[in-house]
Amino acid sequence: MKKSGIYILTFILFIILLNSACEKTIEIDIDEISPMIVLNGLIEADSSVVISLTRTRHILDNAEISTLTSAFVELSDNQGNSAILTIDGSNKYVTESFSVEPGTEYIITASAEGYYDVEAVCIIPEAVAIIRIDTATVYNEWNEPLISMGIVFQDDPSTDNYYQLFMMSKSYYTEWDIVERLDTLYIDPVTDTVITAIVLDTIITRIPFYSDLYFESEDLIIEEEDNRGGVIFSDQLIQGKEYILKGNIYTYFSRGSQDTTTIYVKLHSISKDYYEYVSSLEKHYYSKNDPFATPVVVHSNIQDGLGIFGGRSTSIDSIKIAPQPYEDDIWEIY
Amino acid sequence: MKHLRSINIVIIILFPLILNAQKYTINGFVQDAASGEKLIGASVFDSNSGLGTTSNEYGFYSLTLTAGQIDFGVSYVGYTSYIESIELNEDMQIIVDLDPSIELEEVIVTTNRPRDIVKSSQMSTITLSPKQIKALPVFLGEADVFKALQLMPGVQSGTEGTSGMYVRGGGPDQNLILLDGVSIYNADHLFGFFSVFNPDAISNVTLTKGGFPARYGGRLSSVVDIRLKEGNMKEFSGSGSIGIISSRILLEGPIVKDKTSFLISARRTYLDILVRPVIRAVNNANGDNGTAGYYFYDANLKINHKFSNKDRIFLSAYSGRDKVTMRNEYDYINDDSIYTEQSDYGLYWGNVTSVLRWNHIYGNKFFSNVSLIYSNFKFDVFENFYSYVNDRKVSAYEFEYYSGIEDLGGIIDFDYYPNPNHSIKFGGKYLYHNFKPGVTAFSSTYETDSINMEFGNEIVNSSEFYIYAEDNIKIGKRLLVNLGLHYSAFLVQDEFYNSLQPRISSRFLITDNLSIKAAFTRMEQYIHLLTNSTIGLPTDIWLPTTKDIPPQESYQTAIGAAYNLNDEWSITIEGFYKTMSNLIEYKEGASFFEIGEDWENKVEIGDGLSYGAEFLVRRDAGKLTGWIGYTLAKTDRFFENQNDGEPFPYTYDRRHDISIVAMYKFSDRTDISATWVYGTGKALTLGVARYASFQEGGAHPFYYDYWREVEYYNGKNGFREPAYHRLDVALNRHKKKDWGEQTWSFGLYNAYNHLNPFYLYFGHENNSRVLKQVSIFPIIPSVSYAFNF
Repeated sequence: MKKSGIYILTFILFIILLNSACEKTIEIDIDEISPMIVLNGLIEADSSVVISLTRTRHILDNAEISTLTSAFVELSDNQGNSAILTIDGSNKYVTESFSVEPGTEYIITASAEGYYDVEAVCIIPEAVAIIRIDTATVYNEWNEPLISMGIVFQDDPSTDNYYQLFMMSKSYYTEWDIVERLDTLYIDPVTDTVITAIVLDTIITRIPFYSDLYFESEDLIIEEEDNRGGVIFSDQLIQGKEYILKGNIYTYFSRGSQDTTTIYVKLHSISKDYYEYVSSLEKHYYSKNDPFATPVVVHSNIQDGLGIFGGRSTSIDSIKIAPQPYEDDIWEIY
Repeated sequence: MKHLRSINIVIIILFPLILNAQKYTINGFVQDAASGEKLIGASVFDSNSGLGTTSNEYGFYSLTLTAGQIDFGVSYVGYTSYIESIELNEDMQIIVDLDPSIELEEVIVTTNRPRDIVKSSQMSTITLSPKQIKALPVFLGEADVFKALQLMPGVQSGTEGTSGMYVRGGGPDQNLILLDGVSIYNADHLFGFFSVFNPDAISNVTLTKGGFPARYGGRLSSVVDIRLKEGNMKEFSGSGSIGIISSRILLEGPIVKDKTSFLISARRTYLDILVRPVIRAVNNANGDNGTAGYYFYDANLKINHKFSNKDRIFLSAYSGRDKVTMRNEYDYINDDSIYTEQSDYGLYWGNVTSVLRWNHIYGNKFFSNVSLIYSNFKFDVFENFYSYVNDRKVSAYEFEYYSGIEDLGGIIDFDYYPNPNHSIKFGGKYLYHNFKPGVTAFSSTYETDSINMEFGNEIVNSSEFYIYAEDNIKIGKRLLVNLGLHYSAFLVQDEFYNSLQPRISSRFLITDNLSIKAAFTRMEQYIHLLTNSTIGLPTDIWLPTTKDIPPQESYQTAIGAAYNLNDEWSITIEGFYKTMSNLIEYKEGASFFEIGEDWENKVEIGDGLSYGAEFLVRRDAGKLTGWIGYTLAKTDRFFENQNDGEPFPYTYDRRHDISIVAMYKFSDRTDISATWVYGTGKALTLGVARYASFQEGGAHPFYYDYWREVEYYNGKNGFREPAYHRLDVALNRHKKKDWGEQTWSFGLYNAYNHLNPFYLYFGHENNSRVLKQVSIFPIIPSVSYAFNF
């Protein structure tokens, strides 16, 4: 073999032996920053106030993120009302004695030993009514049926509005339960003995179950999808107009249902800080999973701490879908 | 008496003219005797008077000297000098054919001669020959212009393995990349791992980092001027190579000897051809008919015709493309019908450029160059689905997203050499830009119904032009000043931007071997590159200055010194201070594919500052040649809405950057080369803490106590990746054959297998959270076979 042939073979072997496992653990000095209170809460008219209080951990600290259980948390409004929140069984700070009203400004403060006190402010926006829901059955490229929805609402021209739209379905599933029962077969007329036997009864129970629905939309006003299938948007492009937000939902959830399925449409009017929080949170996760993307800082309105104190008001409307047997792709909406 | 005084005054006034009358001009071209290839930057001089000039980008020179006996000489590194005694008593034209050098035979790599570096008024300039580029160790056997330039001080590479260039703190969009005078917008193959230029076709590469002459404009940070060969006028010849991932070939020769020549070169990867059968076999085993592939190619064509020694035209064209494709097809039977689903996905990007150039010499001091230019860069993503029932198409879904920029324009340049103390250049350029900043086309057909839509960002047309004048002025024997003025303008959306840019660079000769230099330039850039990635992706989009987005602007001051130890060794030291304004970046989290908003609302405008010092020690002759470069620099960015309005380090801020390049020629048959690079780690943003997100309970009960983890960042780009360092080595074995010469090249990239960071992420190990580093290039051997005849 010529020398050049030997060189080539040597190099081919090199390539075959090439080790592609190129991952290793490294150490970079990441300064310890003072732990901060993380306050998360979303308050809403006619709902209990529930606040979660946790703390930051060093990025390399492996400990679970746990609740701060001995904090002092107070909620007040610009009308002079206030309430102290108490911790409940699920380690949330709650109060049920405080009435939350749209248009009112609320201030929350929290303090715990070893942390800076935190404070945040939010105003509950007014609810925007759903005027109607237009529906139609459409088919995708795989000939699967979808419900096309047009959610009609009137944006308030006097303010900047921020929205979050969720959809949820309520269907039923059936549980079969077999129970034993002692049944009388007959009574012996001679001996007057009651002859019994154990028989099996089937008890059918219809149990409601709820599903978050993915609202698939290419509507240009949508800013971001959230991780529950909802969408957020602002009125920047539709200021003061009546608007039809269009999108589709898949209907797997009701396939085989023997009962009517209800689809609830929740149009939340949300505070600006909460809108920015949700929007930046989703972008944060996208960028976190892309090593080449610019990291996105999650918005916070908690002074001297982190998290979000948001407010919202909600309008709800619903549509119903007739029971759908299996193998039937005809949808009746009413 | 009165009359006599008048005569004296007339004589004094006319004296220079009388002297002029005693001067004659020699002009012509300097060219390679073997191929007729023009030699750029050759020294043309009279050794008696010490007066001289250099040949321009087309090999033309003009030297006006006093009548009488002169020793006319021409020298060019790597060639035997030409000396001839001439009795100069009339204007004359001399075409100088230089023979490849025998006196410097041991030199395998040559660059600007030390003496030129000291004597030139130009600073912050690096010239590379293709010989140099090919002699360096290479990645996967592919010689690369940009990777060679990255080894110079002041030029930093981006992500490992990529050919992106960051010059003196500037971004990759701030490099004006000219191929035979035409702008190339995306110079990357294979997502930036190779540049689009075939080294076989290149005649000369010049990088200017500062002290920009007035003839250049339109970018802030650098000019990479790449000149292609013109084609061998004397005889048919060729060269080529076969490497691990691609092969290339170049053919050139006379169509009419000494009148018309051609050059054609092409390069293509063959990974797709090698891998396609494997992918097909795997898919077939899974019941699919799918396949996938990637390739890139580039091709150059040049035709050069000489009408006379005063007139010449060139036609030059380039085309390059990268394409990634995936195709899948499957059948199923239902109700006795055969259903076929077919899908195609892919993306491609590439440039097409062409230039028609006419060189003309007016008289013997005036050289003109007129060019008509065209360029087109396009990036395209496509996705097509087709359904068939019994071979009848029943539905089609076609999606395409594309962006690009198309230019059409003209350039006119004049070189005027009135006397050895002045070398004047002036001219202008007009470009009509057609920007397509992201357009989506969608069509859907089902049976007989169809929908066709096109939406996205508005196409923007604009006009850009500039005029310039510069003079290389010798003042006395020691001072040389290049003084220029560049005026540019940009018309877009009825908005007119314009800018007057002074350019000055000077050299003061302290001794024959030592000079000090200083330069000041203002630059204006009317186009922007919007990128949300730290690697050079073709998805990065070129955008124009608009009504709301002003042009980028920079001011750069540089001072330095050049010193020759002897004819082999030289040292240069330069310091620079550069401010940049109106830089654009995406707002946090914004992405170009979001179609709800105009791109102008997704960007932020900010400033940049870069300063530092560059040291370069080089040996340009002898068995051992090479250089040591060191850069000490700092680069910051300032955006009002980022990092709480505080300045933050630029991603490619690199405090220390070292490159050591050595090439040693053992014999005519064997030479080796090695490069070692070291750089401070890239600046990056890392989370310093983690915390729970707000999570609202959903429909499912288990959502109620579910939260996601958020990272808290304490300042932008506040951390550094581990330092980068790497050694590459190469061995070249040459052998003369009856038909020409062959070269086997063996290389090791990252010879000591240092795992450099490609990216970092937080992961887990032994139940602990740790920071992990992913590296993609361990030690990589390469082999290639090259030939020329």
